[in-house]
Amino acid sequence: MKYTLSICPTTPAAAMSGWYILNTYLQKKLDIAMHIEMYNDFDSQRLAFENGEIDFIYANPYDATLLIRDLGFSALNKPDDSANEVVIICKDDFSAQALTDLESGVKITTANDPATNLVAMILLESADIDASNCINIDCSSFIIAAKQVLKGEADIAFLPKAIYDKLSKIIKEQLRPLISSEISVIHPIFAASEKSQSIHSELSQALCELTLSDAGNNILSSIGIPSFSSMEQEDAEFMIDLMDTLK
Amino acid sequence: MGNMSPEHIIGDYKEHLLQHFNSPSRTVYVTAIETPFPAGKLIVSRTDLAGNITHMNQAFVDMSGYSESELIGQPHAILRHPDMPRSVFKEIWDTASRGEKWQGYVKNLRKDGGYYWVNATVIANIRNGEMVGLSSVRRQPSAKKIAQTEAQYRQLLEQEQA
Repeated sequence: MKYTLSICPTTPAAAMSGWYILNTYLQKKLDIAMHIEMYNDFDSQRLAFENGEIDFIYANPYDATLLIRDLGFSALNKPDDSANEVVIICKDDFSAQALTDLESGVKITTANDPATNLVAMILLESADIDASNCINIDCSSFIIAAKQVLKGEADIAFLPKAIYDKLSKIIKEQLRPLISSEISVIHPIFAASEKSQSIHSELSQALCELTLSDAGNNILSSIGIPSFSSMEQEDAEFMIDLMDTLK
Repeated sequence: MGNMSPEHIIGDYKEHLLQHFNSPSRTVYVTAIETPFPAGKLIVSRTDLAGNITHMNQAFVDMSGYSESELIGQPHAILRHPDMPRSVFKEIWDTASRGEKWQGYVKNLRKDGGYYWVNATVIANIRNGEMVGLSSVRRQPSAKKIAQTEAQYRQLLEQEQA
């Protein structure tokens, strides 16, 4: 049987080669055939896993409910210290000094990452900003979102903290974080389909054991994840409950 | 869950006697000191079907003023503020029990007698088709909506006390 692995469409370009190396590593370690299938956006990736075209997925937490409760996927692993934290940025000379200074009609640029957008919109609730009173500008990547803020085409942008932290010093000096989330309980999951059940245990263990070898640690470093832990079903159910309260 | 202790209270306080649904009445001491919601954080907790706290995150502990060991196993009503109408808690329980999401504003009481407002969402935890508890996630409230809610809750309290 040939398996298909897919990863989050908003995975940073710098981490992509690492995921291909991990795929090769897992094929050798488990003696399986597996290839990576990339999707340009969440909608096309969702369609693929709904059609049963994906066996393993490093999934956005927003999709956890659909994958686990509706499609019978199992959550095998979670990344350690890789929570989906979000930074809302503005240009350094923007008039708002705090989130509560934002006003109705604020122009927001987002990269269509559902978990990032969900958390950011929750942060904006305290400023009475919601989908009904802001102007949403879609863009294709977080870097473009940051550039739109720099050019004054948008007032604020939503960025994953991991992306914000890696912006160059020159870019960061022209931007200002209005708020950073510290939620910690929402994170991506490595999930597996029912039809791949025969290798769930081996695969989960292989991911947990990446830290035990130099090669494994190099892979982890290249995908920007310090280590993987195994996930109990209840861990996943708990995160899904939390996500459901936020949607 | 025993009465609050005056020695834990910070600042001038008033005494209230709270009547709970499933436990004895409780004497609480209340000050006018507000603790602001921690920006960017979520307050998370879970209870069992009896309403006892089974899980919490650090923000829950920090905002309550209690230690984790003082909270675990205690009724969630340990945080109940006398400005909260009883009918709101009944509505939360009834809504979650129907498998629906409850969302609204709640004023919580701290161990030191102070208070904090939250924008809360409560859902039932369903496992294998059975309800096993409740999860509650609180986010930062809006000042405008706190003012609106305070007025609504005052009216509800007056009706309950009439």
